[in-house]
Amino acid sequence: NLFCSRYKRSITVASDKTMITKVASDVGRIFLLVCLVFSVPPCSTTFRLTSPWGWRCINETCVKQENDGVRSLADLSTCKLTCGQDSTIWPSPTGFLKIAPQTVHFLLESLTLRGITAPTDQVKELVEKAFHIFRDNVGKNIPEGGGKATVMGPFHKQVTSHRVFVAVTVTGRVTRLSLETSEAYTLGITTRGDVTNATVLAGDFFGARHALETLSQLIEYDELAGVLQIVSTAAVVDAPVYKYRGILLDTSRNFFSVRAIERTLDAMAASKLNTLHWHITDTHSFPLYLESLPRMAFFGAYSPREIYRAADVRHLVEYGRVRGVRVLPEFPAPAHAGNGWQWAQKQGLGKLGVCLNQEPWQSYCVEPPCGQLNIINNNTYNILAQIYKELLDIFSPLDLFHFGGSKVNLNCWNTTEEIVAHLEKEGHGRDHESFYRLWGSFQKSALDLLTQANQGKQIPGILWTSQLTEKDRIESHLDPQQYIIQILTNRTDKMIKSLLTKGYRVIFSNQDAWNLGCGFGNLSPSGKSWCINYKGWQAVYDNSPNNISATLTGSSHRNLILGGEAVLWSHHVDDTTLDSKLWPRGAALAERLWTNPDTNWEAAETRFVHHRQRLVRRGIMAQRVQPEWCRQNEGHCYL
Amino acid sequence: MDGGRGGVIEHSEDSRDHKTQSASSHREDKVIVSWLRLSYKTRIWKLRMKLLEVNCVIVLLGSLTWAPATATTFTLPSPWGYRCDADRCVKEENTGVDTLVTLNTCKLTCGPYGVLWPKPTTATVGNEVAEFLPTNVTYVTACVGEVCSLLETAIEIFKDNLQRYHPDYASGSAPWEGPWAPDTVAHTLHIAVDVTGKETRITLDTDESYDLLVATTGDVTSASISAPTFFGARHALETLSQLVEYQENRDSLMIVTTAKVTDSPVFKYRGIILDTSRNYISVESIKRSLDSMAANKLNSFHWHITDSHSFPLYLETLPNMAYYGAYSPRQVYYPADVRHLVEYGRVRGVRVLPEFDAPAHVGNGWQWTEKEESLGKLAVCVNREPWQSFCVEPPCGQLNLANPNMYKLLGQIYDEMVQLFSPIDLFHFGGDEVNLNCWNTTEEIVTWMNDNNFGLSSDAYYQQWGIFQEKARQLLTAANGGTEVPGIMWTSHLTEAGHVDRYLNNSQYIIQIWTTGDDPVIGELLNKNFRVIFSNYDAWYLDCGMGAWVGAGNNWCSPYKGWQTVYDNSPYAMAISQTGSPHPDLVLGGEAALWTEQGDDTTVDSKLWPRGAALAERLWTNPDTNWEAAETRFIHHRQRLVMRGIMAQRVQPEWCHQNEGLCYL
Repeated sequence: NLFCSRYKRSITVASDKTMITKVASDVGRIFLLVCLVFSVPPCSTTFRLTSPWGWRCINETCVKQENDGVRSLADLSTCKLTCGQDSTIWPSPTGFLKIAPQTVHFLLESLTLRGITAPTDQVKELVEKAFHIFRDNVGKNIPEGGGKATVMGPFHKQVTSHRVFVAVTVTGRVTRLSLETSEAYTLGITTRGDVTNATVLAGDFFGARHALETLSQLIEYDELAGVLQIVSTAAVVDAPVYKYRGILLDTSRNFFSVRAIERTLDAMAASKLNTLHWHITDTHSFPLYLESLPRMAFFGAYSPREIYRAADVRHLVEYGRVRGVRVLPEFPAPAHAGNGWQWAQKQGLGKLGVCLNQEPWQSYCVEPPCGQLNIINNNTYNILAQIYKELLDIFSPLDLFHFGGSKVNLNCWNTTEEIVAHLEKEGHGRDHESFYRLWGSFQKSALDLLTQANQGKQIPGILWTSQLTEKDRIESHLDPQQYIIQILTNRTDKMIKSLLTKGYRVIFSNQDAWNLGCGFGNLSPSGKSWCINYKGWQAVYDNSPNNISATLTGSSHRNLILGGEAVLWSHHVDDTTLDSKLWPRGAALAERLWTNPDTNWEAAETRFVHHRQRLVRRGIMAQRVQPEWCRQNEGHCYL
Repeated sequence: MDGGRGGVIEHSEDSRDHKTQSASSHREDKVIVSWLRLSYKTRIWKLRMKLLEVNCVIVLLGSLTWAPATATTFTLPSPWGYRCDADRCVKEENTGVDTLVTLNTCKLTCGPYGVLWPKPTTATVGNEVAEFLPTNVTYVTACVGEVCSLLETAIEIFKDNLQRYHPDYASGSAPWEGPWAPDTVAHTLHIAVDVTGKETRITLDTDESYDLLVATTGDVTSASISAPTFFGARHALETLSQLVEYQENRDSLMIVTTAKVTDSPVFKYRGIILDTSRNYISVESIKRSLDSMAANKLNSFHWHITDSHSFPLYLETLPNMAYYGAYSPRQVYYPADVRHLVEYGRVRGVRVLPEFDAPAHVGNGWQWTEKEESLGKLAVCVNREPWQSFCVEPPCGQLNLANPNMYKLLGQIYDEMVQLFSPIDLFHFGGDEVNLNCWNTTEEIVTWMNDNNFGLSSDAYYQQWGIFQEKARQLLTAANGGTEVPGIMWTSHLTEAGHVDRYLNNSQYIIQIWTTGDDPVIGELLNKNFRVIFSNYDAWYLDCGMGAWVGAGNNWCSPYKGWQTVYDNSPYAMAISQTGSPHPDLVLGGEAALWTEQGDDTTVDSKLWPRGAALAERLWTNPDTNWEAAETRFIHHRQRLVMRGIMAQRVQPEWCHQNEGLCYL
């Protein structure tokens, strides 16, 4: 051991020397010599090779070249930071963007918040929190963690004395994201002498936090200097194209830990996505602990370890808010409700869920286990009201609510004696339209209950496309003023056209591009997957709601298309693969929705692979999309 | 107050998971003893939960005295339990009278094989469990020489795996807190291992069989292991660990009280290939892969170390290879790392098998020789474009057949590799996807071909490739001190139908099949008495089904190979379909491949597992049945891998795990 540590020390010195002699052209030989002298195997923890490679910016491309000893080429991150139009900012800003090709070095401790100008203390406090998150993210650029540089100095005085000040001005009072929030910002960076000033100006807190996100992307670790660097001069004017930029997470098919959801929110913030659509419950499980209805989770959770408590939810809502993300609850009904509702019958409330776990499942639902609400039992509505009330409380204040409302199986209701008897008693038929009317009136009641729970204040409800949203049915059941429709079908679906021409606001989640759960063997146990093909990041990136609308209707319907959302149904996912399924593909979605570029994925590729590395540095287990060779040799992995 | 987990456990049917599941006379004592261990507050709370369960009515509605839910202070109980019914665990509501067991207890004891994976050749697993604590494990060994220290290590690994069953395990230990019944505290697991043989390195002749007998008398469960080799014994320990599970109700472990297992693998070669050139994989991740292989009794970690993309291996005699070829100084394997991994694998029953791919699939790392006058260009077409003309994927690169210095370096590389991985019983030469156009457009090579009157026909190039391979084999033998070891080669142009034996000799080479399972070359190889390893990409390429990485669309071997496809891919069936015989003497086994164009540390676990486990059962057990018969064991095994720190992917909603057999088609 003693030998090893002594040996380590000498080897470290040796490799330092080698680094210094980098200027000599025969580095390799000297290195060889050094290594022959120490012919004991290197202890990998301290010994490290140097690299002969560097990067030069040529025609907006970072080109890998060998350091010829005369000029010290930049490392890859440094080159990417200043090479090319968009630098490595993701998503690409929509307004003005100018970045000088120079950077200045600084130490993390010299990065400080100089001042906040804000109309209220609440906004000021939010900005402070956002700054801390920003600073933490900057620290994560430094390899090997702990916010400590591997090269611990001594640094040149120019480095140690350089200060970076951030000043933030927010004019608006908004502290909760809504569809009216602008999220726009401007960011300026100037450097004079040993001071760099970063100035953020935004109409609302959310714009300001996006600005800080952009700022964090103009900072990189310089591997050669062993220190952070920031672009010396930059100007950014930016605002999102779409108001609604979301990710759907399904916590019913499989449970996700609070920590995993936090990571998801971190990654969303890094890509300026603004809505985490939380599909909390489904027929499979009911992981939400409701204080007023503890039996839902008692019976419905997979296990006592797999439960979200009110405190968890409130924590996540706040965690999202300071990161510019709305946490939007979905409580699917009247289908997609099952486990968790078993208790009611014993309580004398009658059956509130029907077809629960019924078999053969193929006759009563699209995937096991089955379950739908008993919409003719008044107690169903009482309990639903209670659920809405508590949801509104823990997610408050809500500006949107997701009612679910997809895939009702009529055969389930039509084979449930109680429901059939009710229809007959009321003199209704048992044809499809009778059931759809029943469903429509359920939805109307659900909307009323939600409004009541929200103290009479109406908020838009979101519904999935379903039998109820079909061309000839939708207008008799759903008011375009009250509902936003989320498109779950394919981009070629004619329903999209009918929705837009009838004036419904829509959110795109067309499954042929934005279903991130596809491509992992049979999705349902059916073995016949309806989404057998994985959606690569390229397909995610190129899916343009704008173009889909233009193709189907001849108009881009900018006022009706609120945005889009990638969905991750969790049949094949839990904590172990959540990150890699969502990221970096979620980032491809983010640029489509924030920037809506005219170009396709090819123009974004090098920035994209760099952004993936950034996500990994921030602790997100994002998947690789290319060999590292492609990242280091921009533009050479073409087809 | 008691932590979250403790809260739920003192139910009225306290003894339901107990060893004998009878002992009702002791029940009250146990309850009282453990009851007294709890703090006052916890007792009150438990009392409430108990009330709740006795009445089978939750009187909590609106009872907000019951402190608002915060994640850290209490855990909800569960109304559900499981009953073993016709080899199937059925989820039912605890009525307060019944004694249903937990899911883990049920799975351990329900069905002929419990949750053993891969399924043993023969096994009888009892239906009762005894609770014990991981601290109460004792052992004796009967062994000779180095085998004894290997066994000690294997037992330490076994003990660590026991710790990992705890849901709150973190870096080496777990907070076992009880409260436990006196029986639980008193119970000992005693392991007796008897190994007769002296082997300390796995080879194709290693007998990996073992016998395991578990019996319980009073406070002692004894596990007797006898095996002809250390490798069999460590497999037995793995099996033993799978007779153990966490007992949620008790915060303890439990073990099946009686079991008898006689087991040996069907195939000798059961591998996973990992590519560390397209993307670098950290030593830590490779260790996790070895851990997981051990948990599945896989025995060969085929390390595709280098390729045209990068050269992450630091060679002491040729440091320039990694200096120029590594992606960065952070992405290098040093000799100490390699030696560590070889040893890490060995004690887990896994051979770490190096591949040094040549003469194609080389490139980055070889640039430096050109600057050395004494060496010249040893690799050609390195990073050459347009890549489509010179290789199968960017970046291109092939060895320079015309420069004899190339052999000098190759010999040096082999020398050091043999040393690092020693002693080797197999070596992988790679040897696939040579692009003739690369050589035929390289002036130096064309001149050399002409000067030597070889001509420039395809056959002439294949001839030279064959000669290269023979020289490579001789260099390896020299590096190995003159001892010949079988070389493994990928199916390639050299092994193409019609002339598989033209360049390669069936006593010297084992052929690894990567083409589809119906490729006629399989039949020819077997008919010409080549030993083969199956890695047919239509079932065993685990990187398939992602997006493309050059161009748009999906990658070349899409779609994704689900675990069912992996499981059902039978080498014998493929051999029979082409030759009418399973050729058990020639079919050595199989290997699943993870090429890493689109993977690195963040996804190596989830791409390999649990699908690697499906491969493992195919190769260890080679069952007559298909995946359906294995499904519930498989799902449970995936959970076990996660408990052990492997980020294995989910393959079904948890509902299917809890409701066996109901996610059917």
